[in-house]
Amino acid sequence: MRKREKEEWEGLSDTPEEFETAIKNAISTNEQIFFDKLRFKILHETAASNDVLMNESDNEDGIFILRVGTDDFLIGKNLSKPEEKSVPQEYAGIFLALEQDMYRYLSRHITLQGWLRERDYMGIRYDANNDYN
Amino acid sequence: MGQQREYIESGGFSSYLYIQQGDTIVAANGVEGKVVDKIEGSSYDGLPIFSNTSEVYFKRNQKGEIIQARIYKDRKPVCDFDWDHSHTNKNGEKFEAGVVHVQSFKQKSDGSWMRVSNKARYMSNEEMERYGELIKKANPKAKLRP
Repeated sequence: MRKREKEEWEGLSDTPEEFETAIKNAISTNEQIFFDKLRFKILHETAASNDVLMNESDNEDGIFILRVGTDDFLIGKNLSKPEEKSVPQEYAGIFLALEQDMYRYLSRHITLQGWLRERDYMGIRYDANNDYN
Repeated sequence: MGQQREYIESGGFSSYLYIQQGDTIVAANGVEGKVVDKIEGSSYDGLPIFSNTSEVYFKRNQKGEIIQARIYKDRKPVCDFDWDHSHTNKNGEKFEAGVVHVQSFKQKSDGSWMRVSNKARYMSNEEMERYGELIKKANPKAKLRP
């Protein structure tokens, strides 16, 4: 890897190898698009005021996924409904986030990646970085 | 206060995307912080990458509680203090909700900014001394250390 490319990943939790593997092993076109676009966003589109990858209004479970800063991911439920909100969890890197059990939000054992695969990434937004909107 | 697109190096912004809410919060040591909301924003908005003149901006949740502080130096981002959610580093180190964890910003070689994700930590003694009282004044429920 060239010096400039290496520098781009400094301070991040995700690695280029993880993205290469995820894209290579993607189980659907939409999953491939997800990792491909996310890699670009992480490297080139800081979201100081949050990137709304999944809005709670775009899925029946009320789940939201925010990219915070660069590659921190905040997962939670019903952010806009304080009476129903549960404490959000932030993870350093998308690959750590994808491993997490969503039981606290869904009352069934499934990882975030499993949940996204069930819906084939439906509802994921690629144009909702609040820094640009 | 605003984003990179509106930022003017010599001062101010081409347009102001955030507005102060309420009075400035002042700690006994003189450090001040302002609660700001994005104009026409949503519950998903975060704080601006650049400040206008302030050293500290605060973010509120839907209930009006202050849940985050962003620190600036010379209008540029330094770090975030968060306490309304848990954070887990990639090495498994976990910071519980309710206790402040810190994440720093750094400027990349192309001039843009990023938030370092792989080194979340608790507040340093220096940060506690300068910002601790201000945070407690903003939200008495925030714990500075576990």
